[in-house]
Amino acid sequence: MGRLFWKFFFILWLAQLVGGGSVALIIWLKSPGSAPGDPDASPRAVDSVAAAAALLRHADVAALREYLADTHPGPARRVLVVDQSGHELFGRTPPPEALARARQLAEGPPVSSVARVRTADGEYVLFVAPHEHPLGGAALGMGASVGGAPGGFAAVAPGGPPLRGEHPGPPPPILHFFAAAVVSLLFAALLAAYMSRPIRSLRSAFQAVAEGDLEHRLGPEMGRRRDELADLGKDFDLMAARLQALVQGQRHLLHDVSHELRSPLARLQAAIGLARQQPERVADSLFRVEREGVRIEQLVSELLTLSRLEVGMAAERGEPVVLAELLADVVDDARLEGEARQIEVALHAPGDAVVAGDAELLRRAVDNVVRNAVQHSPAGGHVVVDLRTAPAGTDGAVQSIVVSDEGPGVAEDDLARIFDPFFRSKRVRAATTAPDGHGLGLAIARRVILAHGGRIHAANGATGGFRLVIELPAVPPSSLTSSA
Amino acid sequence: MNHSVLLIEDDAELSAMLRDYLQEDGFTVGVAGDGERGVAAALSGEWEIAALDVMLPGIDGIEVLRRIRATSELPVLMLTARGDDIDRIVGLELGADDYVSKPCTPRELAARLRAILRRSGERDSAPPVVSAGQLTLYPQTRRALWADTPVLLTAAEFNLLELLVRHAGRPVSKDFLSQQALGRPHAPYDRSIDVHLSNVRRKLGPLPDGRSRIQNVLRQGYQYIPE
Repeated sequence: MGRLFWKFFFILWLAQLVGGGSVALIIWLKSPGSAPGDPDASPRAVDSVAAAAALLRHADVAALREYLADTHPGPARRVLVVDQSGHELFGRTPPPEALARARQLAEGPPVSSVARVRTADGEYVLFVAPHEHPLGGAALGMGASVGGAPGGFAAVAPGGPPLRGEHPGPPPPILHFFAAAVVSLLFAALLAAYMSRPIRSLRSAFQAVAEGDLEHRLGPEMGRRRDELADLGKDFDLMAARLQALVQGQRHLLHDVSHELRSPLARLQAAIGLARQQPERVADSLFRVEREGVRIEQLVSELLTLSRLEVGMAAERGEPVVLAELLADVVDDARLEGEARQIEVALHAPGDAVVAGDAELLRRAVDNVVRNAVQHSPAGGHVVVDLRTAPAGTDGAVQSIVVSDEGPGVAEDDLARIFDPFFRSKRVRAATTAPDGHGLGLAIARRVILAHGGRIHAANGATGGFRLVIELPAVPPSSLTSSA
Repeated sequence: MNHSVLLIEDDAELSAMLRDYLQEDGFTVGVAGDGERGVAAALSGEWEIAALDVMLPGIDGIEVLRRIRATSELPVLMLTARGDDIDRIVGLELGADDYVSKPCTPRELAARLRAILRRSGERDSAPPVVSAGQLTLYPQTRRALWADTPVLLTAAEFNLLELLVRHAGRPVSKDFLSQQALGRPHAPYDRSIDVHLSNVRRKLGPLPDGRSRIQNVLRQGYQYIPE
């Protein structure tokens, strides 16, 4: 039980007590002044009095006597019918002060608990004596006075507690108060537990995550709860899942990096070993050593680029970049690379589409994509770089660069993963001519494009081949002139 | 006589260089570029030993080892990434004979291959039978019998058990075990011997009183308990 539980508990309990007390006070203040000694004003008593009065009014005393004698024990039996001289119909002795009060009430404005009926025989006052006034032994006398009533009556009459005034009076107010306190205590405890339990489990979940247990989830502990606390739990689970994915991603990356660095290092050592073993082939080995050195350097610089992009250092933009120029540049390089295998690189870049951003990074991104296409093209294949310029002036227009090749394509399941660092699809492995790829090119391209507010996605062509689409937000001419 | 070694390695450039080196060093070398081909070649019976890279595309080295061990006791040297202890221990548990860390010099690789081959080739000079209680070892044919039931042991496991049985009842130091059975000095934190011996324990089963037949004697090494 945390401090929160007790706070909730006491506040709730206090609130219930104060609320209950206020309601009781209001009821007490508003309730019709039923002073002690007043006739019973409970609904059943009022009904019985009304029924007896109606009978007396429309029939006569004999009928009333018969009716009252026949009715089952209950409030109707407790109706006292008193004539002017103070005689009760069954000879019972009404408590004098109750009678006096009833008469007094009957004189005043009509009240429901007392009825005054004038008959040919005289005037009667009908009422039910209040609880606290036992009718005394008169009830027994009633049986005698009924006389001719069916024998059953005498047997029933003693069983009618109200007639004998044995009805337990209303419990004393202190008992009311005590019961209310206990019940409110119980409810306060339940409510406090209901509120504080999820907060406690939330706290322990935070502690677990702080201690590095990213597997911890709150879902099961929240159960079927549906409220803001459950939502908080869901948000927590979401956060933990994201953190876990991020940490795992980093761990993966580190693992991949060490593996990627190991491959050139292993080749480096093999080359050195060969040079030692066969001194006549030192030149060949040195060439290999040099190449591995370059590869390691490339890998490290690409990793640095990637990590800089990850932390968002490329966010500064504003420099207008003419895409057609950039593409022409990239395609020239790609043509050189593809020349050896007679790969043709075609460029369709009409117009002078402009985007804002870092020209060098954009060049690198596009270069990675185009080179990727060239490397995966079969000998003699075609790579097409297509720039589709959005109509100028439209708001939110995009420039899209579509790079398609005639390579083997990527399994549908892997399409989303080709932008992950070091991911190499079957496509890469199948291509024996792509030894330079570190699996970072497309990851870098994606980072660059995202940092420029664009999108990049890949698709297999309907008739084979592979297509990468880069979309960059177009720069409206107005902002271009202002920044240029 | 040239020893024949099978390289299961996906890096074509690296395996070409290693092949050059090992051939110059007097090995007959075959290369398998992926796991599937590696398993097929290893089970062909053509090779005396396999050097297996753990990081392979498709089915990985651990799985390759499992498939080889399912039917063959061919000596296997694993190439694992440095610091990747899990691969190492899993590999040894699956019955690899030894491992080398991946960026390794070709000289070290050749030395390890020779060490394993020498141990498994020592059969000719070995005494015909070593026995302790119900356990009988035939070093020449490298068979082990437990109460006439064959026990399948890898080369490294057999070597270790043979050493322990020869010294049955006395503790044998890890240094001695490593030098004699694995052909290299024992390095601190090297768990190879522990893993190999835990495999042997599992294969032999416990003593009737529930203790292990091979006991670790604190700071002294291991001891074989005869009945």
